[in-house]
Amino acid sequence: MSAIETVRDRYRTFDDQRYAPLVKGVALFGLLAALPTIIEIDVAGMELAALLSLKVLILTVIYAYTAQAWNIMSGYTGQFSFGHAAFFGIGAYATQALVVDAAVNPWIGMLVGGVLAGGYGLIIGALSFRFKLQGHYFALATLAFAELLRFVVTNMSELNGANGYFKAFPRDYGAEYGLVAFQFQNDLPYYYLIVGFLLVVTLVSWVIKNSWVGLYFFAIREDERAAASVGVPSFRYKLIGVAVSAFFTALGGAYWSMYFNTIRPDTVFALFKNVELLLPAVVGGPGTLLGPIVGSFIVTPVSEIARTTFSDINGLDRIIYGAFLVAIVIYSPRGVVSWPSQARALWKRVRGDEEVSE
Amino acid sequence: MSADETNAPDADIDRDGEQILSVEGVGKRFSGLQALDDVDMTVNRGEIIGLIGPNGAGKTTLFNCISGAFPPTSGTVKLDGDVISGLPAHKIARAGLARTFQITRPLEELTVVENAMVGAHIHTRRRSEAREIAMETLEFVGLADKAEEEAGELTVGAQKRLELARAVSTRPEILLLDEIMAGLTPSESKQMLDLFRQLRERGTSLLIIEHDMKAIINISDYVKVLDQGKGIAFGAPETVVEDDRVIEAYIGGFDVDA
Repeated sequence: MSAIETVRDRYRTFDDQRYAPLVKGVALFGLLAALPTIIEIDVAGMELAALLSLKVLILTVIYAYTAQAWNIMSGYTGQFSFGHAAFFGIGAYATQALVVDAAVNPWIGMLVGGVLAGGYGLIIGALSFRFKLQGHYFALATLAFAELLRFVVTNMSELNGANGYFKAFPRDYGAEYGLVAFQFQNDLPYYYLIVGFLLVVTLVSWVIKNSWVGLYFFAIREDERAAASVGVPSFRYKLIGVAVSAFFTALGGAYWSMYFNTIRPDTVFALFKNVELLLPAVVGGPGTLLGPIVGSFIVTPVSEIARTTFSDINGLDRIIYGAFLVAIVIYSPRGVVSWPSQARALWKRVRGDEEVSE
Repeated sequence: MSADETNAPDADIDRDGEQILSVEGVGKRFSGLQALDDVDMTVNRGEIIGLIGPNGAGKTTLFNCISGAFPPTSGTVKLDGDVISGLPAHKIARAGLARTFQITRPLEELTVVENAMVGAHIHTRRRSEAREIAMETLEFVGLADKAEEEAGELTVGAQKRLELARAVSTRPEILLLDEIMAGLTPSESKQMLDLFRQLRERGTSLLIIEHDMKAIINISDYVKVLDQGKGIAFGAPETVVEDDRVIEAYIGGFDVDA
């Protein structure tokens, strides 16, 4: 009992230090970097890797990354996007179209995709916010804009229609396997690359959260009218949130297109992609830094393992996603990362009651 | 003094100080309902003006027109001589006019100090400076000890003070306070009146909607009376409450001249 309290007090003292976020970040990303080694450890004669392969880890970190990007807009400013597949798909398609059709380096293609997605986000945002779309109506508008792209791309022969793109070999664009080519001959470098992506978007999120921009975002989320009454230009800041979020989501799409062999409208622009991109953040805790990462480590492995284990049951992963979504929205809208503080509050209440009754 | 004369604010009353806020012929129409009709009034630097009137007189509508929640359908509002009517709310706030809401609107999941910091960021983008300004205003309204609590957890009295702190953090030239004393205990009301006086001493002008007539008479330099969207009286508090048209508006339609 007192030992627990000592640990808690020590942690609070640590938490007040200026270097605390740095230490936590290093610990978190150190753990992520060590995961490929950890899953190979034998536990009672069974490797963890049998259950949690490197491929699943990569997928998990991809969705942690995209959820972190989604969070900047929807978690921070509260403008719930149900259409982030639009930005994801733009990133994937811009990269592949430039790499395959014009032999441009994928890194450049990725940045072009990011800028295009940011621009598309600005159009969606400007139209929706000008006409004062909020809540469900805004979410539906974003979904419509994502579906619109899926139809358009499916019917564009210039982008190979429904067939999509098959990834080019590095030599086709004058590079060799490695970081410059954005292609590797095994999965491990891919894993470290996406962890690097996650590090960047998490750093950007941290900087936003700790600046006036983040405070304005949160004020808009809590009460737009109250925020405006003390000088917050909500229209402009909502657009900033959308553009930054769309940009980083597109980079995720670009990575996706360089990791998997093919992209098609019904994969990167898929209706269900919208759910996959937002669910980790919602489950883990929207508006938090840790939520999207924790959420993805809960949601993605479970659905992937279920999908591969019960491969004859079609769509089981989607059922699991749905179950997660319903459960978390009903029982814990602040997400998994809020559980410790809620438990603490409960503990306090229980103990408080005892003291009163004594 | 006849009723018609009291409706012309500057005609016979000699007021000190430069003009901060000027409302000129402001009207607001909501599809068929004329909520405000040709309202004139002014607020000078360092004045406390009470805005009173029966329910539905248009007091909050006037606040909304002035603060940019929506634009007036006719007339103009000037702050420091510049036209602000038609500007969005955030620009009016940046021009030096802050307001509170009748139903408090705390940014619930933010802490108390963060609520005040949102207002303080008008003056600086640096987080530490905004925090300093915010802490000062929290000290001022007496919420400094609750700085790290979540705003949604506050009691009604504390939420009212937070509402004031958030607006004061913008360091406004003029503050519009919409029934900020409603729901307060007598001692909390007394503290609030004290805060009003201190704000005035700092040079902030106040325009106050309040139902507590005693408090209004006690604190206001002048009182403006609205009834059915029209300004019906303006003057010193003691004079206005004895005005026939004001009594009629409050008590009802019997013939006072009979």
